[in-house]
Amino acid sequence: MRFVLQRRSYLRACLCGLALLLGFTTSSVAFALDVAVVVSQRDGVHKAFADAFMRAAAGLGHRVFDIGSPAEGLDDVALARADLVVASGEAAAELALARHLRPTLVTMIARSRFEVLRSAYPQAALSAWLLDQPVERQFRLLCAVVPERMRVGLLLGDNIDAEAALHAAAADVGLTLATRQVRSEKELIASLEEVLSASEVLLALPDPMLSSPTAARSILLTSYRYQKPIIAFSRAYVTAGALAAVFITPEQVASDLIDWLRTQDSTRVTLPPPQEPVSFEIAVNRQVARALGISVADDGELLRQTAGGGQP
Amino acid sequence: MLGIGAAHATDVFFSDIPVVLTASRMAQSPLDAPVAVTVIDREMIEASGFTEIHDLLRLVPGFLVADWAEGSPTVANHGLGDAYERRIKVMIDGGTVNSPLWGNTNWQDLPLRVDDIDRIEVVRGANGAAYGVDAFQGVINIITRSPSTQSGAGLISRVGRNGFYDHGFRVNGKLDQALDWRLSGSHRRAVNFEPYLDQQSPDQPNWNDRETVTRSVVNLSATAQVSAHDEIGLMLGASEGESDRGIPFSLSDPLRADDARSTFLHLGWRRSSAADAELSVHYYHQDERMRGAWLNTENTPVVIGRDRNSDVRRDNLELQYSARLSPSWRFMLGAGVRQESVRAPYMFNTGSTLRGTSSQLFGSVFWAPLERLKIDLGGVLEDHNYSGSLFSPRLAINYALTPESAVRFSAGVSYRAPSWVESRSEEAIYGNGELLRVFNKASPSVDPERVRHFELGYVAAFRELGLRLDVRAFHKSYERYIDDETCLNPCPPIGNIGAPARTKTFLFQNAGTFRMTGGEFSADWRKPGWGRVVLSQSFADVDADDDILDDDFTYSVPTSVTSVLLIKDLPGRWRASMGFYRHSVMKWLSDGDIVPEKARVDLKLVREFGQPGSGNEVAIVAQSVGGRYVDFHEGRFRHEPQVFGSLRLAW
Repeated sequence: MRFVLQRRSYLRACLCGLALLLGFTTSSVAFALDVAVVVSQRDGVHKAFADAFMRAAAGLGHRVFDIGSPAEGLDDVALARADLVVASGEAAAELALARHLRPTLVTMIARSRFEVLRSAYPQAALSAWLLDQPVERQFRLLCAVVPERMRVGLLLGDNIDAEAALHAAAADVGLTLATRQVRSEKELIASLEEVLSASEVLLALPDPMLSSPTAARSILLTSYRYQKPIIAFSRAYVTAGALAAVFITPEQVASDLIDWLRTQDSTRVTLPPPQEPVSFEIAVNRQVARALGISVADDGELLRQTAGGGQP
Repeated sequence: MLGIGAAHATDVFFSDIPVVLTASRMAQSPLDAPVAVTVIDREMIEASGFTEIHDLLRLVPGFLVADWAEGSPTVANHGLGDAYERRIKVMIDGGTVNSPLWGNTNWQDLPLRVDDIDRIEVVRGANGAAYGVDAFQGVINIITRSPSTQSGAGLISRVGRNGFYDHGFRVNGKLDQALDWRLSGSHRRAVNFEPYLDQQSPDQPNWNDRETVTRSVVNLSATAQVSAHDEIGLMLGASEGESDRGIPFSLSDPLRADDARSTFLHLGWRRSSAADAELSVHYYHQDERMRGAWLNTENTPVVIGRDRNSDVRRDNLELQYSARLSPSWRFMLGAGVRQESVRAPYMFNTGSTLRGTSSQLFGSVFWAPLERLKIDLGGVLEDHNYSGSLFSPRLAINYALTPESAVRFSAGVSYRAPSWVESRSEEAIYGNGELLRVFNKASPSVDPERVRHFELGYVAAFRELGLRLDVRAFHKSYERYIDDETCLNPCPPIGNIGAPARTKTFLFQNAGTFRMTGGEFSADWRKPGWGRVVLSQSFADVDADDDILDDDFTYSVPTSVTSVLLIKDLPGRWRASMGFYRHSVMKWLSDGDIVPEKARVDLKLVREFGQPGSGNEVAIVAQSVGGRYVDFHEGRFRHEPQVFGSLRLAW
């Protein structure tokens, strides 16, 4: 179900290759970037990202160095010389920024954590490729999956500041929101029941407190009691019982980043503002759909509508 | 343990979440179900105004509910019911709670409050292929609310006329983040039957039985999500209380207080790697203790000591694995072992405890060769402690006419093994040390009942109309029907049963073959903001063969059973509901008798307050607003109308 909005341009790749061959033949290596990769962990999603990114970045002609992880320590020299540091995860970014303030791109990070990092290193050249999908995309998926359900329940945790923007984004696609803030897990069930009573579908956002395994479990069970589906933000949530989710995979994060890297000068980079995912994938739990008596369109149609293709 | 506070912000995108909504946790879509299923959901439970579990079964097409004063209420499906109806399997969260002694369900002693129930799933027919021996006329699975879906505490108090009250509490909590628990309890008193003076023969007016039931229930439920894939569950429930029974001024059946106590334990472990891949192990324990004794001094100087003292228990261990082999193939396999022990000297004429162990192998294969076509083949092989090896198979074919409608054909064979009473009883009655008569007696050999069942069903959801339909026609062919036939010693065909000559005995024996044909439909219409209407109607006809020993049971099948539940949302957070329950003339068997056609109407008016979804409400319920009505036996039992108010608060 992979769907990449900005597809690699074959022509652009050919032109880049030609330029590399003709224009920089004297020292193509000298004008390539030194890209240092730091990972938070040597396994799991960070490994998946790093493997995909390093393979593709090397293919662009850059010198790509795997300079370490929190568990192993860092290659300080390589870090100091890097034109661009790509840190997979918050721990990797903290490790690199604490040593040298090189232009740093943090990937595999949630918006809320990046903002913490940003304020801790205000002087750093720092940006991020975020994991948080644009909420408009989540709303579009919701409309595609349950088009007749217009009243959307939403629990807010620390992201209460985003409430007005969420209402506006919902209104843009004709939805109304029933929101409630949850300050602690103790308040979860009461708030959830209130929101479920006033809505036809629940939208789960990646708030840390509301997404802990126990909170997610309570949300899934309670929503099922109310026979209300959940539109979520991860594949695991769908496997656990959400009706559908839109999310980005580590490989897609790498692909988005590579697409940006291609647009950069081969001698220096200009960091963009923090980027939301361009690529996305969706997952649907058709067993839950069946149990809730919901007919869901096929994946192709859902992808088309989630990408902004409108109603069929 | 999982769930150590808030997850790391980035982790939430990739970390595992417990696989919560597995196939076993969710109610199966009626479009896919191999059998006819009715789900009584929380909204229906609330709107019905019922405060006891058995009453809720009135909402199921074809189901009949009655109460009498000498024991637990009784629930039957399309007839064949007596005071100890034992052809419906009843479970709490998958664990059988039928009483091992008679095989019936002691509804008043279930260690569970109505308020702790999430929903009740009812299979409206035989389903031995999924639930084993004894899932003969239906299966009722009472599913309790997960403690993970509640928090805080709650109180409910119901107070009504004639000294009725039912006070309950609930406290929910968390331990170590991953363990959710609920402790709940209630104390209830209800006058089910006031002594009724039957004046049909003015010269000899007859007083009939009274029954006042007092019960205390406590229930502890806990679930622990020990990893993303593993969940451990515990439920421990206990019920205890007195039933004031007997007949005023009677020397044979004087006023007395029976004491009943029951406990239920469920320990379960469930590993779910995906919604349709699950391994589970469950252990269930149930025990029931009954104490009730009196002296029959009707024929002094002969004094007859009578009692209902019994101690029974059941332990059941079950292992089950289900998985998907490919998008079109799924299977389930399992095994179980069950031990029952019963001690009831009055019933078995021995002070010893009788024990029996039975085991089961079960499985099913689900195949969808086409997108529209689903085939479900399943079976249970049971080695029953009394009846030996019994195999119950079933084939079901579902064909989707549209994405939201399907027709279903299913056929199968199911068994019911005779209960301990039906297979071993010898209820000897002594007076002054001498055997006076044998009341109930099992034949030396009682074969299991067998039913071959066929059904054709249609289910559909009309989403734009807010309507769901469920229609089915069925034909069932019963063999070796077990009945208690009246005889005077010596009893044919076994001869002298050891009782004095010409004394009357009820002899359990296989009593012939018959067929039942019928149809049911239910319509569930819902319009947000307006309310909901759930209508069910069933028809049935029974046709006895020549070998039937007594065709009395044919009158136990009412030709028509109707229920309507109307829920109307009103402005200002008010809601009104009405329940209408009616059956045509019928006869309850054995201790029961003819009950004329009757209709009962219940009303409820409720107003919510506080936060929406909090559950705070005040309500008034009127049951049987048409007045006093006959129940179970026309000459003996009258139910009085009831009116009660209730207040529920939650924190």
